[in-house]
Amino acid sequence: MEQAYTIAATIMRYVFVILMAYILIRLVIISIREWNTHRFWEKQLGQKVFVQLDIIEPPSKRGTIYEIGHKTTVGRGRTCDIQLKSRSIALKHAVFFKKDTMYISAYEPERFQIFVNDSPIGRQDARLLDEDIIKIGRVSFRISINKDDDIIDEDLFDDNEFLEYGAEEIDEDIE
Amino acid sequence: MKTLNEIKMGFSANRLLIIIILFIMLGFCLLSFSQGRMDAEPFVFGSIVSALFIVVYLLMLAMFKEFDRPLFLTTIFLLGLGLLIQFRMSPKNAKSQLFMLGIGVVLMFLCMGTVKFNSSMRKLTIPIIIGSLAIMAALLVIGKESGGAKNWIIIGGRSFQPSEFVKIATAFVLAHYLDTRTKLLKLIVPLSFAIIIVFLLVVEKDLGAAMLIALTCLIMYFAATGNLGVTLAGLGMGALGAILSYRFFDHVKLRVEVWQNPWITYDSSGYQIVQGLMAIASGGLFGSGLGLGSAKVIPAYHTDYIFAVICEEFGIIAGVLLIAFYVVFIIRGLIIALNARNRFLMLFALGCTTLITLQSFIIIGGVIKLIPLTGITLPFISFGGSSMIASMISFGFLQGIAADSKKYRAEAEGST
Repeated sequence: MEQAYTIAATIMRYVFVILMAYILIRLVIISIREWNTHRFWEKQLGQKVFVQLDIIEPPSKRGTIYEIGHKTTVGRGRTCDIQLKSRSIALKHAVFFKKDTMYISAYEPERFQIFVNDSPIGRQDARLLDEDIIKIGRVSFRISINKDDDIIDEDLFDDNEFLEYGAEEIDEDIE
Repeated sequence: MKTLNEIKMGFSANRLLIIIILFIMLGFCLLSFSQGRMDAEPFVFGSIVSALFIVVYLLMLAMFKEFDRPLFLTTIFLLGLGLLIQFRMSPKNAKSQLFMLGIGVVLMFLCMGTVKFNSSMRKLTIPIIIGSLAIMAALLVIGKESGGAKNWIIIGGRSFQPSEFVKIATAFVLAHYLDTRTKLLKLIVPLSFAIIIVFLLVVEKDLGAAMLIALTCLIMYFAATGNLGVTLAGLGMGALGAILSYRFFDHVKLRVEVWQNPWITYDSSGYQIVQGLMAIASGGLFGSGLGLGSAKVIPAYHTDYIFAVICEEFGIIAGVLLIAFYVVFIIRGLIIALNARNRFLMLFALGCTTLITLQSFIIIGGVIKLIPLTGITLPFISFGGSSMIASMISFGFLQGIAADSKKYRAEAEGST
């Protein structure tokens, strides 16, 4: 019996290694499939709506354009996707997010309000339409929501005014 | 609406679980004949383990269907392999390990469920800081020494290692503060907390845990702020701390000397390292065979040196594949962190992944004599109740964050 066990264990060591390798390879394949699925949905969401924000106030920052992604945070903090250095803006002030169309929500509506077309949005997620004016602190934006990528004017980006992510100084007295 | 890829993925995950169960059952069936006669105990134990994994999988599908399948299957495999090898070395240890795994599974589900309340959980940051500092300080007074480190507490006849849970607490605290702060002065609270914890661990001679927490903090800080200067300064301070530890702590000096050349003292202080290396070498590429090795001669074969045991019985190829499994774990953890719904969850996921990753590579590095040996466990595999529970808690949080972010994405997809 012991000899039989030795033979069985000796044979099984190859089986175990092969099974381990197979499991590992299948795990990698599943991971790759999941990654491809994730990219597929990202592409689907991205193709539906192309959104950009143009700063219209203060006048010194007019023409600055931001592209809005699936979820984009706005605030004074460095961790925000769009960083606006102004005392009138909270560390994390607002978030733009895509569902069927574009929405905006405030992080601290009691202390730092957001206005859409001069109306405060309060605690709600406010739905945004093309050409809406959004006021965050002392900064006003016009939002452009385009259903077709071809509508975007490529010349807008030639003068390097386009800022995807970056720190924009609004108030001169802030660091 | 599911894509074809998603449907294929679901079937693949189910099939792979079956293959993993097959691997585990083959091992236990083989062990049933290892004593020269038919013994039902390994088969029954293996069946219980397999049933537990299937039940957990079904519960995950029912309660958190957006969980991360590759991460789950990787962890299940590591747990199964760990229980198999623990049973091979000591059935009594394996039964204890299974019991702790059961507790770990319950806590895992709890942690998964609490992720969606993460903003409420963050209100507990200060109590967590106070509790962690209190328990680590209490170890100085009431802690029991084991393996040279005074980091054990006896509760109800069972010994626990609080540092295992303090690691997760540190990642949580750092994630909370790094979410909204990046300047060094504004991070004085979490950084002081981390420094005090590391200091207490050094005093208690648990250098492995101290190194783990210090490195995790540095990685989380760098990921959150991108501040290379401060990160390098932190690494420099850590290196200075290591040099000072070498100068002032005899046990550190001994460990480094033994690591440099264990062969000189192979029958005393170098015995463990030498036996570990010889066990790995004697296994060859495919191992001696399950149950045919003699790894019990290695001190701490069931905890620190479990990797050497696996290499001896399953082979060096299996050892390399095991490292690859941990690499898959890291990659899945990082993907979960990148896809997290908010910055706090991203940092916390990064912290949990980093803890498990670093822990596995530090102990494997010590066993193969790449770095000096530290007394930490191989996650999901080594014998140790506290380690098992803490690893399952980290795993639970990772799965919770994965499910939360996928649910959020699914809601967005549903409205497009």
